[in-house]
Parts: sequence; C-alpha cells; structure tokens
Amino acid sequence: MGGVSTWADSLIRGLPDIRFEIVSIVSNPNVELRYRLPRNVERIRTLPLWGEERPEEFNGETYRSFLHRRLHTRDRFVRHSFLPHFEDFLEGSVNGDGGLERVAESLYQMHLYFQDRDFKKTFQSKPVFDLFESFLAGHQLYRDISVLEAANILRTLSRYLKVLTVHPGEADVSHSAIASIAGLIGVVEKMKRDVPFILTEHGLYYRERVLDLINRAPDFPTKVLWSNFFRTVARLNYRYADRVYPVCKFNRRWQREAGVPDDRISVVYNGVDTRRFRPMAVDRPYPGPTVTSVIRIDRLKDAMNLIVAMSHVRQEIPNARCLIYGPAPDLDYAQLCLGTVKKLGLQETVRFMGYTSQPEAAYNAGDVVVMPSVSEGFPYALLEAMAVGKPIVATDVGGVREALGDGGIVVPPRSPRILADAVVTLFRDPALQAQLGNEARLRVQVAYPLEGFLRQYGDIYRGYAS
Amino acid sequence: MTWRPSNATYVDSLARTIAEVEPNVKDYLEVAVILEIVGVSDETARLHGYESVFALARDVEPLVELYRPRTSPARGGPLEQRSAFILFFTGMFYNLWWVIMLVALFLGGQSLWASVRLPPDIATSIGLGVILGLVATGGVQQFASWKMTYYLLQDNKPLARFVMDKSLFWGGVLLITVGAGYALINELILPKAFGITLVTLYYFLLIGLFRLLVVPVYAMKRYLPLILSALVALAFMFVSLFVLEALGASRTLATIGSQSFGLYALIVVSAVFLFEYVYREPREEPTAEEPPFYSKPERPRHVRPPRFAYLAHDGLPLIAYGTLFFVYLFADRLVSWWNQGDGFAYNASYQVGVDMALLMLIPLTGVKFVFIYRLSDSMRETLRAIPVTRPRAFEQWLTAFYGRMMVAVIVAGLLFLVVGLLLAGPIIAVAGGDATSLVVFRYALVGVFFFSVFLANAVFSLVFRRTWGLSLILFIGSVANFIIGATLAMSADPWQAVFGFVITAFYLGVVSIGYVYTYTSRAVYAHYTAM
Repeated sequence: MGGVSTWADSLIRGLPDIRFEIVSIVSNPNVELRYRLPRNVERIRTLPLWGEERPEEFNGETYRSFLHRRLHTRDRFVRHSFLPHFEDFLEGSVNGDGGLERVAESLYQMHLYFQDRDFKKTFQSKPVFDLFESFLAGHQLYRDISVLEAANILRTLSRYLKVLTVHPGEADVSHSAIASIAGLIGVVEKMKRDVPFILTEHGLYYRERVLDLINRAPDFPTKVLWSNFFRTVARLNYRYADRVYPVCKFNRRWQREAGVPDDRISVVYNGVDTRRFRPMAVDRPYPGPTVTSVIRIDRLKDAMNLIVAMSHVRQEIPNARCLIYGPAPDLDYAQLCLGTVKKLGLQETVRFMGYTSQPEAAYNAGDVVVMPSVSEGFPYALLEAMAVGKPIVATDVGGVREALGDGGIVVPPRSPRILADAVVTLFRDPALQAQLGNEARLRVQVAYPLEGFLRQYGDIYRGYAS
Repeated sequence: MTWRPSNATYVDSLARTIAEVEPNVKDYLEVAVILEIVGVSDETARLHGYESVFALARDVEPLVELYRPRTSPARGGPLEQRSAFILFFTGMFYNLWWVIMLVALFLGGQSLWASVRLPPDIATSIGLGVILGLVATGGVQQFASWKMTYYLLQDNKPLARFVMDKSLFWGGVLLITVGAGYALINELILPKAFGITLVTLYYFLLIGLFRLLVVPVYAMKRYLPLILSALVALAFMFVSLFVLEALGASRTLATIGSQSFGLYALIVVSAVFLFEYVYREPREEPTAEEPPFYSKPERPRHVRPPRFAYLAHDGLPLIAYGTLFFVYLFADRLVSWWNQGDGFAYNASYQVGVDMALLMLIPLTGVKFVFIYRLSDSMRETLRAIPVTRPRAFEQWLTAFYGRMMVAVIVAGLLFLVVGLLLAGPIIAVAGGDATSLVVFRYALVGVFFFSVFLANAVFSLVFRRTWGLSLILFIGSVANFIIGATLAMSADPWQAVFGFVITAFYLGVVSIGYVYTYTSRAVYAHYTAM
C-alpha cells in the first residue's frame, strides 16, 4: 500500500476524538477499500473519475432530482449560465492568463451551476464543445492539437471537474492530502462557506504530473496544455490553503517556487510506529552478509540500480546476497530486471522475494537496507527501515537526505558503482553498521515518532475547531 | 560577472541530457523536474555556482532546443488491414443463426419458429408466442449487450454480472407481466380456448428466456457458440421429431414436442455459455513469461455496483430501439393474420413470402460490415491527423465514407433485388409457398431493399450513439406499417399488408439518410458525444 494511504490511516485512526468525512477520489469504481474504517469516520464518499457514464451512478442523489436537473439543462441555459465561467476557467487554467482568483471564481460558479443542472448533459452540449473547439483553434500553440486529442482533452477535463459536483457536509476544516483536483473541493468550500483549508503534500503533484506528461503526452501542444492545467490546479491549492504542510523540506522548495510565502508553510514529518518497526530476531533467509530492499519493482524505484550494484558488491564480497521484497506491477520492467540478473550471472546473489505484508521482518532479515530510487518524497519505507535500526544506503533524491541525517549513507541516483562501494564499506565495517543503525533508530524515535505526528495534526485540527 | 567556462560545459551537457529525455521542454520547471530525476540537487547546483536547481534550470532551458532531434516520432501505426472478402463473410456470420434455421426448415420441413405443418390455430398460437417473445426481450437484449460490453471491455466481470443479473431479473419481470397481460386479454376480452393461450405463453416464455440467456454471446460477438447452439438445437429437434413420430405421436404433438426439445437445448447451451463468459471466474495461472514476483494487476472482484436506475436511464434509447425493431418487423405480418376469412390466423402464404425476402438481408449485412468494421478505427486515425482548426475536413471525410457505404449497400441491394426477382419462382417453390407467397415475395423484396438501407444507417448511427432518433423513426414507421397494412388488407386482400411494409421501409430508408445527415454535418461534435 502506498505512503499516502498509510499516512491517512495513521492520522484518522490515531485521532479518535476528531470526526472525519472522507471524499475519496479514485480512478474507477472498482477500487477496493483496503483499510477497515475507524469509528470516527462519519462518511466516506467515493468519486470515481472513470469507469462510469455519469456521477449520479455512484452518488446518493434521488432519481427525481436527477430528472429535474436533466430536464432543466438546455443549450440556452448552458450558453448563458455555464459558458462564461467555463471560458474563464479555460483562459485562466489552460492558458495561464487572468490570475488564480478568476479561475477560483469560475470553479465556484460552476460548482453552483451543477447544483441545479446536469453535469453530463452540460459537458456533452454543443455550446460547450463549440467553445472549447474555438478556444483551441484561436490559440497560437493549441491550434495544432488534433481533433481527436481535443475531444480527449475536453472529456478528461470534464472528468477532473467532476469534483465540482461534490457537496461535503459542514466541517471545521477541509484537508487535502495532495495539491491536485482533490484540493479543489477545499478551494470551493473556502469560497462558499469560508471553511479553512489545509494542504499536506507528500509527493509533489505538479512535478509528478510533469513526469507523467513527458512519458505520455502525444504532442507538445497537448503537453503544454495539461502542464498549464496541472500547474494552475497546484497553485490554486497553494493560493487558497490557509496552511501548507509539506512532509519534508525538500517539498518546501517547490512550494516556495510556486509562490507560497514561507510563513504559510510548516513541515510536518510523517510518523512511524516504532513499536511495530523495531529491531527483532527473525528467521533470516540467508545467514551471510545480506542487503535487503523493500521497494516496488518499477522504474521510479530503480531496482536495476541495485541489481547492477550487486554485481560490483559480489566482486568484493562473493558471498553477499541481496533480497528484494516488493511487488512488480510492470511486467516489462520485471522481465528486464530478471534478464539483467541472468546476464550478470547474479542468480545466486539477487533474490526477488515478492510482496510482503511484514516489512518489519524483511528489514530485520538483512544487514544493510538499500533504497535505490530515482524519485522520492519523504518515504515511509525509509523511516520504517531506520526504525528497525539497520544501516541504510539510499539515493539522494527528494527528502531522503533530510530524513536520513547521519543515520546512513547517501549516494547519487543511478550510480551503481558508488552504491556498491557504500554497501561494501558497510559490510566490511560491522562497527559502522551498528553505529549508523543506532543513529537511524534514534533519529526516528526523536524526529519522526507517530505520536509527534499525531499531536501536531491534532493541534492543527483542534485549532480550527475552537 | 565572472566568466566560468567549466559551468558553460556543465550547463551544456545538462541541456544535452535533458534533450535526450524530453526534446520539447515547456519551461524551466519541467527542466528542473528532469534535472532532479537525473540526480541534480540543490547541492550539486551550488557546486556549479547556482543557488538552486531552479536557477540552474533557468539557464539550461534555452539550450535544450539546440539538441532537439530533427525528426519527430511517428504517430501511431498503420491500421490493421483485413480483406473485404473476409469481412463480408464475418458480417454474414451475425445472421448465421437465421440461415441455419431456414435451411433446416427447407431441408427438414421443420424449424424452431415456423409452424407450417400445424393446424392454423396452433400455428397462430406458436407464431404469436414467438413474436411476443422477440418483441418483449428486444429492448432488454440491446440494453444488456451494450452495458455488458462496456464492463467486459474494462475487464470488470463483477459489473458485467451485475448487469446480467439485473437484466435477467427485469427481463423475467417483463416476461411474466406481458405473459399475464396476454393471458388476461385472451381470457377476458378475446376469449379463446385455454389450451391455445397456453401454447402461446409456452413459446413466449421459451423464446424470451433464450433471448435473455444469449445476451453475452451476442454482446461479445462469439460466432462459434452461435453456430454451436443452433446446430445442437436442430440436432435435438430432428432427433426428437423422428423419435416422437416413430412412437406414433400425432403430427401436432411431434412438432411441438420436437420444437420444445430444440428450444430446451438452445436454452441449456446458452446458459452454459452465459456461465462461461459472465459467471465463471477464470483461475489465473502465471504464464511462463511472468516472473514469480510479478504482481499481475488484480481483476476487480468486490465492486460497488452503480445505481441501476441510472444505467437503465441511459439505456432507454436502446431499449426503445430494440423493442421497436421487432414491432416494426412483425407489424405487417400480424396485420396479414388479422384479416383472413376465419379471423386472426397464421398466414403461411404471407409468412413464406416475407421470410424468403428477408433472407436478402443476410448478404447485405456482410456488405455493411465491411464498412462498419473499419469505421471506428478509421475515424480515430482521421481525427488524429486533422488539426482542431479544420473540423470541416472530418465532416468531408465522414460524408465520403458514408457515401461509399451507401453506394455499396444500394448497389448490392439492387443486385440482390434483381436476382431475387429473377429467381422468385424457384425460391418460393423450394420454400413451399403458393402463388400468394410469390406475389408477397416480389413486393417484400423491394421493401427489404429499402429496409437494408435503414439498417445500414441504423448501425452507422449506433456507432455515434444516436439512438433516440432511430427509435422515433422506427416508432413512426411501425405505426404507419400497422395503419397502412391494415387499411389495405381490410379494403382489399390480406396479402396487401405487404404494401405497408414496402411504403414504410421506403420511409425508413429515406428518413434515416436524412437523420444521418443531421449529425454528420456536425461530425466532430457527434464523435465527441459518442466517446
């Protein structure tokens, strides 16, 4: 399970006196609930962005009111009451013109519009389509976008804007765990009822979207369009958040760059349950020198970096072994890793252990923990490994250096030779291993305890409630 | 300012690296993202005299363009090409079920729907049961096929099951309601022998049940099960007919008995395929290419079903179309039954003529399929190549595509019409028709020609999800078919009901062309709303 879901579960479960209403924005309606909901969750509302034909399929609206809204959504009304706001939204978000206030106002007005009018019928209406088409055609760059892509963009935009149909119950504070469209609910609630809005950022939404666009955008104009949209969404979150709580200082750099003043940013580090993650005796799969890594086997976590590094480690310490725990959702990449292991003759050295539900046992099963990623926020996996008291070698990405402090060795990403040198150094120096492991555990106990994390958020929530 | 050549080299090398990752960077923030991914941190930036990665990115960004590759990657691959010949026969397969049944009728004198061997009152009851079964389930079948395809394409079997469960339930409710209504009318308003009513209800329920169970086979376009179910049903039917006659059963009993066994077989085979395609959860064994630690994406298992009322709401146009299709198709036949000397009775002469003419639809479906099969892919490729400034180009393309399809359907239709007219005598003789059948056949051929134009437009419109308009056109056509057919049949001869079919088929063909024009003239928008 991902870091954000672990964070949310710890937060809600750890603050039983706070009542929560959750709006869960999911890719499709088939996402299964992985955690048992604590009693202080009053309601969970799931909003699937894809996999349905209209929002009413999953919201609690009565058929009668749906029919009423549908019958009262006519092209003439769309033209008068929706198009001006949608145009403002396009100008401000996709074009990047007109300021954030104008975009926020347009979102708010569209939210009010959808209280009485049908969402699907509006977005499928000819006036909306014509406006969008002429908007793109009149733009110096976007006019090169294909007709197919234009239709895809409008459809996707409409899917994202489905958050405007959400009407949360009255709350003391809205809290978004990401500076994405999810936060727009908080932005609208702030404009509508002046509900305080706070934002926690784990990964950096805009940064992750840009990475995704680099890999997926069909052409340059489309990439620019979406990049503008995502940046506007992130900036809206920052602009309307009363406070921004990055999980590490690394994220703060990006928030500052997006114009958030320092006095609205406070780092709240993730907290780890040090009773669960602690040094313990486990059955080791291998008695000799062992590297363990608990990572998702994909390009971002860069297992390949570790595999290549192990070929260098083996030259120095032939009986060294590496146990990689974690699922491999990308078949091509999994096969690539397996092929590399074979090509380098590491079948004896590197073992893929698969997904584990007991990472604490996995960390305890080795001598050194490695995190070879090319991109991280402030990873729970790192904090958990530190709590176990193992020395860590991790790549210098995201908030890793900040988290690790002196509790491990930081190496550049995609540098297997340097990574191997660090591992060999640790294997050859048991005293250093023990020293770094102790420092890591101590650091977690002092700087990242679960209790501290809960206390901070408890104070924040209660501050708004009083 | 200090000139630092080492920095220039560093920035230059970074620009080259960035250009390899993403040649078309949008701005310095995108450059910063890539710089961080390749391992540049604030610390490294500071080593080279920059205060942060962002400051470095601002300098790198303008240089990236210098290293941009000259060629741009190709968009998409060529479309899969399949020969028109294969597509033609694939299209015909959709009607194979009909063909097999008709061939069985000619060769064996017995079919699952024709009842020419029977006394008129029994034949009427059976015919009515079959027609009612098709009309009552036509809408449910269209709706269930559409929504089930939607979920199966998402690999979401639980929701496909949900749709099937609901369709079976509501389809069942519909069958019971229509059946009860029919029984009530028969007993109270148009009193008939109870046994005759029961025969109608019996066939109505069997046909209705089969149509509901066969939904996934149609939705998933599984040809083999279609053929297999027809063959198994025929085998059961003929074997039981032979056995029953050998045991000395009356002709009526043997016919009804054997048709029953045939329908039971059809229902059982369809139920087996329904279970296989929708209800059975396949066991997922890892393949040889999958490493043991590969975590295959999990198929959804416990999903929250959508609210059915909204699915049904969106499916209303299809429900209307599916129902009205059969209402229209049987309108003139029912009229021809009504106006015979001995009251409402099965009109075998008329039936043979019209059924034979409808056979012409089978090759025409093949012709249509050659075009429709390519429509979605060709549209996507064309839309991909046209910039948003030139939407008219897509309209022109679509109009040309539609024009080619219409020409092919019309030319093929005329060809089959001429062949049909030339061979009318022998065809009706083989089918066991009489002189009236021959006249009906000739006129009905003209009607079928126009009807095939409508069907081509209907399939084309379904691609664009323009179903309400089709339903309205069909509704008017059905009412007109009843009125014109009844007027002519009452004032002249029952066989003249065929003119109701010919005139309304002409109307359907012409009006549907106009209907297609209403949305192809806004083709880009039409495509968007169908996505």
